[in-house]
Amino acid sequence: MDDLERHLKDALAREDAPAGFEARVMSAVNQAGESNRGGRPHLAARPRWQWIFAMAAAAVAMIGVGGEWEHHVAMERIRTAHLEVEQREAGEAAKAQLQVALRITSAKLEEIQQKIGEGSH
Amino acid sequence: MIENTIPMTARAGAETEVRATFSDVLREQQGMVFSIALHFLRDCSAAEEVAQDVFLQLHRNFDQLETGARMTFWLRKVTANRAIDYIRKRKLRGTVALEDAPEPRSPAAQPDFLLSRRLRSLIATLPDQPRMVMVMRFQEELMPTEIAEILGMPVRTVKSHLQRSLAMLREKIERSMGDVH
Repeated sequence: MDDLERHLKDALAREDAPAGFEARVMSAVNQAGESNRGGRPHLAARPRWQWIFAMAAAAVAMIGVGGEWEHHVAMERIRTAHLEVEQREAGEAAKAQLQVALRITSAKLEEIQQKIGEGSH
Repeated sequence: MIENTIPMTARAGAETEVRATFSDVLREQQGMVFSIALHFLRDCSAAEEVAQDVFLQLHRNFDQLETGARMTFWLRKVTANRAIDYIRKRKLRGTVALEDAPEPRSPAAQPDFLLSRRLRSLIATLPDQPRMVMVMRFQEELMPTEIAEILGMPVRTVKSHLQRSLAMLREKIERSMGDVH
């Protein structure tokens, strides 16, 4: 081994891990262990991302429910409008039928009247 | 080779040997794992991040791993892979070819300290694979066959990386600091 290799060993000698490294690893391990076990930590102990996720899910659900309600109301409106149109159309058809019947009756009466007039002459 | 294998069995009483716990391994191997990452990445917080990931992975697989020398091998391998992945993802290091690295200034005092610092900065300019080979060779004092096994490359590639890296380092250092032989 020459001098350069010795210097390289000095330059790349092992160093201590930073202070508190072991504790940080153990803390991360415990946190990971808790989530792996499926344990449900106390609400206040849950990490921030879980809260964010829960709030986002609630917002999505509320938007979903709101949208569904709006859809339901709109469908009701359409159904009512259809019903009104159908009723109006049925009424108009009945009115037209009545007018036709009156017109026929009137023509028949006129015809009878004429015949009576011709008979009396 | 440095005597760095974990005494994976702790004696509890005279006869009973107990398998080392995760915290034993963490305590004894944190320096090795952190140093491999640090010498490769040259960034303390990045090295800590990598080292922490390595130990989390170790914890997940602890029951399946053999203790002793095999676990040390596993730790070196995982640390090397994680550090290389880290640098590839984050592009932490600017790619400076060794030939393009600036010449070192002649030190006025503390030549060994300055030489070490200069050597570390020159090693940092090596490409990923040769750099990791150098870390394994001179930090962990492993033989080329062991390095080849850890890094998953042929032994002749390891030897070639070592020879070329040493030649380039020698040239740079000699040019700036005089004969190091």
